[in-house]
Amino acid sequence: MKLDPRCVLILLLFYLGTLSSIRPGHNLLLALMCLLPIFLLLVSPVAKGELLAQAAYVLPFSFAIAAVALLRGNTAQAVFFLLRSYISILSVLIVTKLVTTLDLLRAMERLGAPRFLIVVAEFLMRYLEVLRAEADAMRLAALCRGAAHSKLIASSSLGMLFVRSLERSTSIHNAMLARGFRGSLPRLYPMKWEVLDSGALLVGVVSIGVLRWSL
Amino acid sequence: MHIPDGILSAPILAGFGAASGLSILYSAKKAEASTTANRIPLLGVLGAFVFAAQMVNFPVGPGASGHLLGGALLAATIGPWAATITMTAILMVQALVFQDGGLLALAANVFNMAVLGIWAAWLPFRALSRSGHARVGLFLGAMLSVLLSAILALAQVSWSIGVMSQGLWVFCLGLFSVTGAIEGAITVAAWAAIEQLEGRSGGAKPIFRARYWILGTAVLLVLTGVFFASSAPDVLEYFQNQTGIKNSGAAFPALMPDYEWKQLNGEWLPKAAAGLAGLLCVYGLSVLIAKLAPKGQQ
Repeated sequence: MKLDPRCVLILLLFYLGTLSSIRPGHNLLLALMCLLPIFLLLVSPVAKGELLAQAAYVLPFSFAIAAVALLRGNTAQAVFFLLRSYISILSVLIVTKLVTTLDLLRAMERLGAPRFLIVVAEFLMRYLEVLRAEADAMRLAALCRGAAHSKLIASSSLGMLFVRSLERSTSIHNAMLARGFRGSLPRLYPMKWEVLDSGALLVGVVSIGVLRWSL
Repeated sequence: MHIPDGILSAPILAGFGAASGLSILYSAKKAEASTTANRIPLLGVLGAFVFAAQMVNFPVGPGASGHLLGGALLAATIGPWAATITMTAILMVQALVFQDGGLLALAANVFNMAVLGIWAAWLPFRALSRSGHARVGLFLGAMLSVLLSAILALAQVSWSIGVMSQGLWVFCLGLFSVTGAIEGAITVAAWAAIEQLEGRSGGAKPIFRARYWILGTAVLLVLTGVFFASSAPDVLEYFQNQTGIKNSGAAFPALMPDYEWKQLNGEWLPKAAAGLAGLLCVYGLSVLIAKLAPKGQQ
């Protein structure tokens, strides 16, 4: 079963919004809300352990806030913030594993995000690879010249990296223009909203809503 | 500074979501009108560049680190409208691909860094560029960009969960002041390098060379460091206290004992004044030594 990325994005944002509306102290409600992404994790074809570990990435920030609550003697509040952050990031992670980033960007565009913003984001993702390749080439050249095994952190190196990446990206862009690029990247598979998506959206919104506002 | 999901309350998210949405819609319109097709790669590359630069963390205090935001560099290079859109694209990709900052919290993060951060950097830069002090404007803009973004992010967290005490505010602002100063210095250095490599430096005034930025950063550290400096004894003093070894006293009376200008009142002023005086003495001595030393040894 493959849902339209727009449907997935709306459901995800609705779930995250609902989660953020839960106030500290409503522990049963939070626990029940946590069951949704955990169920999704169990039934999805994703690396479960890896995702659970990856979701802990957010913990340092949340832990800093939880620590302050803890210092003020509010242990329940601290646990609440940690759990809510963790479960939020886990939900986003599951979705980003099931739907590609480009599809999510397209879904945003179809839902009303400015086209210009999406084009810049797509170019950014494309040029991240160009930048990485240029950085690797510069690093290799520096090592061949006998430089220390250090990261490219000097401002002048950053400036050089920027100019080199810009030159390569301009060449890529010119090649794209020559091949007929007219301001937006072509879509191989057009998005199709089907009855299944409407059904899934309805069931999802009602389930989350009932769960949230009935307790 | 990237707030994750699960921290901010629904009203804060809704309010800043609306503000960010409107700002982005308007900025996209303005940016699209002012950007030719040939400049789109520039936005993409700059975005990728700032994205990569944000991944390099540097220590700013005890157990804390900061990273470049890049708002000032973006605003100075491509203008505020396109910079707002590029920074928003960076934040979107970070949230979607790297889970750095929440997806729902994107509303707040975009407002903090892509709207407020960019305009806070752009306004001083534009104002001072007109009077021929582009680099000073860039430095101030970069600092302001970090500080204002951080203050708003802290305020959002505080409004949402109410756990921020006054002491914590002071501590965080101290750390962000240091981050801001470093951001300013890196931004100016990167800007200078880009200008030089593109061959359009136009003879920048020598007064704004790197040493002045370092000196400025040092002054800022002295003035704000008081807030987050540890009051615990250093290792040697600790050892003395533990072993009961008594200090035999100074051979002559110190001008500013314990790094404090005792004649001044208050908590911050005596320490900051002493730090500043010490800094000036060291700077003066260094300049003197540099002048007196034979050329070959410099």
